[in-house]
Amino acid sequence: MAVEIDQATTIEVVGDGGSAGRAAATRLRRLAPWLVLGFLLVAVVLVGFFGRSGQDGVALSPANPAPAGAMALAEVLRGQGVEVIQVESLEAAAASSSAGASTLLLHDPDSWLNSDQLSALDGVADRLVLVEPNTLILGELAPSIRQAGLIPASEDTPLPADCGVEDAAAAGSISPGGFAYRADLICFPPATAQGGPPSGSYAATAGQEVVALGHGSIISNETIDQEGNAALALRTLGSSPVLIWYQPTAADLALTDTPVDPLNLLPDWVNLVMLWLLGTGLLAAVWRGRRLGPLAEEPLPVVVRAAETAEGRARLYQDSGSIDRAAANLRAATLIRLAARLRLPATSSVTEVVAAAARHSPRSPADLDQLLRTERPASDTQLVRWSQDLDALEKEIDAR
Amino acid sequence: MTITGRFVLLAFLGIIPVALYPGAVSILIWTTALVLVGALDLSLAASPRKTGLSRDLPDSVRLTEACTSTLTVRNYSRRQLRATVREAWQPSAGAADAVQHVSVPPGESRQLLIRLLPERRGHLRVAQVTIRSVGPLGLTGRQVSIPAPGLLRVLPPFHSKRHLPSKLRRLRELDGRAAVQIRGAGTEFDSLRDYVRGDDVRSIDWRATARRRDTVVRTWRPERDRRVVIVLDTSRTSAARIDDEPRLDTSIEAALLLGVLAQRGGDRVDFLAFDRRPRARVNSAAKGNLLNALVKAMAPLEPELIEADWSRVPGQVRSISSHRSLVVLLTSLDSGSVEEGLLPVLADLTSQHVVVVASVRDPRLDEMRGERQSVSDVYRAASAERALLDRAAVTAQLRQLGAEVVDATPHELPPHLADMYIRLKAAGRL
Repeated sequence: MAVEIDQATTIEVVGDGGSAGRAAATRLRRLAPWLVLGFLLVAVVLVGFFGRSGQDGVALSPANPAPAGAMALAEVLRGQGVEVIQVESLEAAAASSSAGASTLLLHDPDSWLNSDQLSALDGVADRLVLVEPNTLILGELAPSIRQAGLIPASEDTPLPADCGVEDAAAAGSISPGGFAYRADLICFPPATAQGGPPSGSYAATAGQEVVALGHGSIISNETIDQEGNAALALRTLGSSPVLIWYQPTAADLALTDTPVDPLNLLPDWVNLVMLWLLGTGLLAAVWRGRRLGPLAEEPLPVVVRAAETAEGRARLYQDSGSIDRAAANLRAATLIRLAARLRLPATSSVTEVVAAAARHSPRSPADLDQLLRTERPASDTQLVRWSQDLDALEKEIDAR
Repeated sequence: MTITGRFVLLAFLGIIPVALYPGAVSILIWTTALVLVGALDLSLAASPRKTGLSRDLPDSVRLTEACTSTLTVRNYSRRQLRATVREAWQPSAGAADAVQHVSVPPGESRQLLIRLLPERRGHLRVAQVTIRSVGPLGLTGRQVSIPAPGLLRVLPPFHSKRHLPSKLRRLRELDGRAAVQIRGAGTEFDSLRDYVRGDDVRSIDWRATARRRDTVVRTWRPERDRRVVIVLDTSRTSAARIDDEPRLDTSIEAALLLGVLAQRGGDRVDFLAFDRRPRARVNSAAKGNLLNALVKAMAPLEPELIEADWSRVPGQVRSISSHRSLVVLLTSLDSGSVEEGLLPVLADLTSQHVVVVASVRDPRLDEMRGERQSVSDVYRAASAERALLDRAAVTAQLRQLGAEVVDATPHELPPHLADMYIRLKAAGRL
């Protein structure tokens, strides 16, 4: 087993047979897979970061090619000579009211804009197309259009135009869903409309300066090719040479009181010192992390406690409720010890042991007979009491 | 290549120029200075590959005794070697100061004393020595691990040695007894002496009495030059720990005491460690100190996690001694392994030899037996009783087959086994 090594090792060892260059090469070779992996990781991150430039994941965004986006519509409009401008902020949207006729598309499902900001958009463009507007937007920009609730999901047949508006009539029918509105001009009324004033998925002011599209999905990439969705969208949004596409974001959230940026209060050198400390920390990690040679191996012995089998058997007895078996063990062991203590042969019967024990114990023979021979504990509690009794009897007889 | 705490401190001090003159220039200047100074220091460090290492180890050491590993570091380079040296002993060698700093001028050598206090019996190893040589500024260094294997043989402690004087006294008392004083005090004729009142008349040597005027009796002494074969079981059952000591180690203590005692008693002692094949062997015919040979043979023994093959033991014993011998089997009395392994072959052994089966008894079982406070206690007591009953049954079976059984707790096993030997010798059964 053991490789015998000359005990009095006085043979001198010089070096490990390598050189600094070779050691570095070995280390590099060992690190190579990790370096390649790290390089790949960085490459994937970079491609992911720059490869997606110009696209986003916002629903109904003209730069989103996903099913929920609206890039298809924007591209077709561009192909038709409409200048589609995607603006990111309220300032940009308000400033885009340049010369020439324009249309402003406003899609704010998360209600980032407050009424003051909304009123700033009033009159920015010649024509306002509101996609799924809420009460706040309608109140500021088109008081004559009012919400009329959801078009129920049970509605699954295309909604017919059913009105005299040219754009809607040309489209014929559109996909059902979204909101319904009441206004001077309404089109695509839901089939299940319950009494009351008529409502429709397409609503417009009398002069068609403001149009509300109740169902935003009709301009999405996924469903624009269904029914007359494309026709309605193209006609509604492509009527002027410039289309300003504005979807407010969290950045547009009007802040009541701009807090002071705490970083601005710090002197210039703090950032550089932090950077330097980071570098020093890395050096310290390298200093403490370099081990003084490889770890020494210790062949560990197996650790088995001899009493473990007995403990395991005890748990088996307890889990399976083997009261009888446990009692039999305790009884047999006590009887054998008593027999030895009372100088009886190992072959003597239980009654003989009981009789001998009675002569050495103040207990009555009947008690002893019950304790040693006839008692059968039925529950854990009885077993504990009985076994303690056995133990006490042994001690009594030992003491004599 | 390594850096030191001093280098990190120097880098940390760079915080002052960076804070005073914020900008890229101060950072760049300080970084360049750090790199240059570090590289300079590295190039001035003595090469750890030009260091000669030789080690002086004691041949063997007894467990619980300390020893010293002397590592000589010789500097063959032309620069002063300032190094941190680590001798990578395995942890159980108990090297308290395995990492030491040393400064060696060119061409000279220094000795490092590494104190070892082994915690385990067996062969303890050291695989390599790591040298970290730093430059004169103590900023950066070069590090190399040089393979320099070494082996320290840690012998069993032989704690049971303290029982030896009393057992030897009892053994000597057997000598020169008249037949009357002890029945069967031996069968070998020792000497003649004058009759004193109380001697057994049967031991009077009438022929010698006729030659002299006084009545003369014969005295006897125990047989000598009997063979004692100690068989140590190294199979899986020897791995079990009793009182936080493997059964194997307790058995080794008992075997050592018996071996030394039997040798002083004039008998020839053979030792065999066996599970499925012989693991160690000490021959009585070999020259030299028996105790040394025993501890050396026992030092590397480890419990093997396999079942013992008892069917081959009679053959092994026969190959050691063809005569009637005292065969001592140091094993366990676990009912399963004994019933299937030892019992079937025991008759073969007892027919030719006197067989003693010695085993360590777990005092924990006796503790478990007495604890009857709660329900789980009582179940544990019942289970312990079962184990003890099984053990008693196995013992009875062994005795029926003609073997003697010594079953004692770890502390008592060596003296009890020695007592059994003395008793057998006194009874002339060897």
